[in-house]
Amino acid sequence: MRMEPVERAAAVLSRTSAARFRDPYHCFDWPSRPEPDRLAMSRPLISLAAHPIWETLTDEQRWRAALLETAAFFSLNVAGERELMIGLAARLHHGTLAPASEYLLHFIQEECAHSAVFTRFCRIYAGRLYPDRQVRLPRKYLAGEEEFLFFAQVLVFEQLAGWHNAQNAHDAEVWALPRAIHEYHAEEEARHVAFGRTVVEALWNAHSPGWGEEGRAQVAGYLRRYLEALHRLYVSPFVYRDLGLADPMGLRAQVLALPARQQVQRDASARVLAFLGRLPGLVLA
Amino acid sequence: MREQVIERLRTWLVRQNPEAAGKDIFPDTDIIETGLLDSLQLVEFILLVEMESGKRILSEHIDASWLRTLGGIYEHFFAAEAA
Repeated sequence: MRMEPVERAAAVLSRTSAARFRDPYHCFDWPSRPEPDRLAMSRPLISLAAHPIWETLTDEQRWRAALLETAAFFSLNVAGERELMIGLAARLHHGTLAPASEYLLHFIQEECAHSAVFTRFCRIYAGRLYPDRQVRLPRKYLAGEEEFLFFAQVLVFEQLAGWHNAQNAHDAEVWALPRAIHEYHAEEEARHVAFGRTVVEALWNAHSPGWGEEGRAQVAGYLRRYLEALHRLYVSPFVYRDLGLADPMGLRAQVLALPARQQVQRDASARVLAFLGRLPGLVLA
Repeated sequence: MREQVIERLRTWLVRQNPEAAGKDIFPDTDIIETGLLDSLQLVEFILLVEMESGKRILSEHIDASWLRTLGGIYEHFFAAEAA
């Protein structure tokens, strides 16, 4: 397996991570009270904002909806980061990524820091961290498929999160603290995405020729379904329940069917789909 | 009550997995082993059961045999409310 591009990327990114290290415990101001006149999430990203129910909500309910949707987004990231840290730690000093160990340590450290920041925000302002519902059932994999899917799913997860980070960070109407957290996360995730793309490409090139056309279609199909499942997890019925809205699952289904929501999904996934679509023989349609 | 809950869950399973439409899904059918749900679909199924029952499925429940059948899910998540 040709790992030179991964090793080169890891060396550059290790230097950048060390040079741009930010202490997550001291780089944010944590006000005792949130800003009551600013939403915690950019309005076009609030899942309820495009639904007719939005017009029936009071300003206070809208403010709380933005706060809880932010908490759900941060909680989703905490869950994803936990799985990522476990996976990276397992690959630290052996296997194909062993030569990139130094960068993997930066990667794990940064993910741990993100989780600490997200968790603190959720606990202080929303009073809760939404629990993780993702599960992994054991199944049979093609040779190299599990390794490829681990990094490909991480890449999809991070690029979707990165898009949401960027939208929130650039919206001057959003409350300053979550904006700063999104900006901080986006900067470090950009390095993780650069590394992830290099690893995904190397793993795809090494393993996919041996899978045959049917195997490649199966892997691509799983990845497409993972992306769709992740889009659905961005719309939390538990937020709707906590807002006191009736029939949270029915409301979620309506939100997911909204053209505005589907446009958010297309925009959020455009870059990662373009990257994956350039891998030879990977057809995600 | 039991039949209604199981029928709602069964309807959802068939909607998620059209190949299941022609299959018999009994209260004791293993919905994981028979391939009716994979990891990605199980996430949505957990959301559905939690929202319908108002109870949390904990991560340690994932391997439990009763989470693998509609009858088991009913007994653990819905039966107390129905009694």
